[in-house]
Amino acid sequence: MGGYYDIDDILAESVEVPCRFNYDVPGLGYLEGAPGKQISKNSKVLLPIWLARILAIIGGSDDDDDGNENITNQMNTSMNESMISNSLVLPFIELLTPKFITNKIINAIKASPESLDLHAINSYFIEVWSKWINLFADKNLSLILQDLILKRSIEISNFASNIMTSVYSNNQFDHTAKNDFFAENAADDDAEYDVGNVNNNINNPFILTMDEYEKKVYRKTHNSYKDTKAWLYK
Amino acid sequence: MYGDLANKLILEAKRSKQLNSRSKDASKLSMYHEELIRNILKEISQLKRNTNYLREQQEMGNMDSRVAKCQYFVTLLCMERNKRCLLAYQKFRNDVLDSLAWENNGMDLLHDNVGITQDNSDLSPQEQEYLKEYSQLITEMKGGILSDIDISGSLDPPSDVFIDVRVLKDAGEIQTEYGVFNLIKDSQFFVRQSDIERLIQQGYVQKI
Amino acid sequence: MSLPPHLQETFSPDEIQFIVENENIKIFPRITTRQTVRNYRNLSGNGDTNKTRWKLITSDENNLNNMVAMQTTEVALWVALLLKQQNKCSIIAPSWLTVKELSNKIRYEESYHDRFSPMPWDWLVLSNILFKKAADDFNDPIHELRTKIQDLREIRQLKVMKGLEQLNESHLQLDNLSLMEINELRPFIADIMDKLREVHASANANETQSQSQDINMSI
Repeated sequence: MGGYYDIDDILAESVEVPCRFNYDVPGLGYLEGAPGKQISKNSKVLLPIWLARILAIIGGSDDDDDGNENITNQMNTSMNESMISNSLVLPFIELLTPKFITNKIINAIKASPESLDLHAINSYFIEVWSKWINLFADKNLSLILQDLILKRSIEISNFASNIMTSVYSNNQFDHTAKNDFFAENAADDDAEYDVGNVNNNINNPFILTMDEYEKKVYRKTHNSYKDTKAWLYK
Repeated sequence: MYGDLANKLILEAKRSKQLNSRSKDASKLSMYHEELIRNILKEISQLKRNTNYLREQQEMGNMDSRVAKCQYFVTLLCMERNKRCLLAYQKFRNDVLDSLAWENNGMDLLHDNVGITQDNSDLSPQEQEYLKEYSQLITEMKGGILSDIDISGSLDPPSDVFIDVRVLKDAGEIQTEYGVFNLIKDSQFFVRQSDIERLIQQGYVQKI
Repeated sequence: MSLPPHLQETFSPDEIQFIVENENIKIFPRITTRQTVRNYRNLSGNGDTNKTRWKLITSDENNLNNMVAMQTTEVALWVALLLKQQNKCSIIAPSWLTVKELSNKIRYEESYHDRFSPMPWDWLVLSNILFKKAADDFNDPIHELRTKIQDLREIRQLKVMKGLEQLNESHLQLDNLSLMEINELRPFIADIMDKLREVHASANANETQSQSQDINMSI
């Protein structure tokens, strides 16, 4: 979970999750693409996490004394707690299972976390899972995610170190390979080619399946391994 | 949807960040998105008007308070989101400006035309002012109580006291404890590292 | 911040080397800096042999200005390297830096899969420096030593990679791993462990109170 100014955290919060409204609310039609209209009870909309997270824990209490301060407090506590204190009131929205946490994905993780294409599912996969887990204090999902991070991190480390061997064994070749890679992907989504020093491993799909967090780790790890190796053979 | 513009701004920051992380040398800023920022500010004012209206309606008892609260919070959250995006964008740019100032040893980037070039027109007037004053702060700090130590000097630990250098471009004469060196392109010297450090950083000479 | 991002992650290898250079090492001086050598005056009795005597400017009066040619003493590595460069001493390689000892270490590494052989905390750096700057001071052939060191590093690296599978959110034990080896792994391990900790905490938020997305809604 990044800080207030963390660009990646802000982008992760913009990932949309499906929600169902528990009330008729006038004036919110713009959330489902109908400005000026009301949003009706039970209608399903996709809302960014930054919005859904709060609406899912604030209840439609009729109590007028329930001022801003109270609400702020609620937002800082987890879903569980506020459900207890507010158990009689339904929150404004119900969060529905997003497509990045389906059973199919969970099973795929259990089978082989290394072969899952996180980037294709969501480029902020680990971050949004983490946020979701936070919302429901879901221990089961938390264990699954920890296992995924750990198993994939071994791959990340392996790739970060394999690359450095090749850089020193065949510098010239790597340079061309890298340039070709960038040229080919220039038109692609940015995320595709920002992995620090992609060279020989471009043929290996794992590197293209990393999510934003993993890429960051990969880049740092690779640089550290590379610097050490460079020093050793200086 | 509210917040979409702000998202665009953040994506822009992400892109710049990726560009900077890819090249190991100097960081750079792309164009300041003034228009986009102005539109986001407009959106915030609009949201602000909406909240005021909602509050009035609620106070006058014209609305179901529960429903009003939901509308009210959505509006507030949108404002908060916009604010966070704006601040994060500016913070990102300021961080780059800070490192630019350090990379140039606090020299006036915009006017001296030395070292790394950051296109002036890509900065907002406030950013130009910020960069100028931040650079000045560095210069003052270096000249003040910290003048005994070169805080913007090389961060590599020293190995040898004397080193061989090759001159990459004419740099005129320099005066050292060991005499005067005339730095003409392609000539080589055996000099004390600390005397030549600054010129290495500026790309005039190269360690061999 | 004025410190570039990569130096905020971990030390640079050069910085590690700089730290190691401050360690003491045994040398075999070829010069004498001791001011009163008993036999000296008797032998020469002549004033201008004083010129052959060295005086080093130092605050460390114990060893540096107490050196007697051909008598082993201990000085900081960086001083030793300077003297070596000017041919004023030879460096005595540490006892573990022989083909025989290193072979023993490698055998140890191969027979225990869950631990590292006890090595000095600066083994990788020290051996690397000495190979480069004092290659002629070894008794064993330098290329053989190099190969052994490389083997040792590789076998330990593999073991580290295997050990990473045991990472968890709360603790990590890296006994006998040297400074450079840890330094190299620091960005990776710190990042992954922090993420594991964070994910672990988010499922246990009520107990740890770690949840702190501050959203200030006051208007």
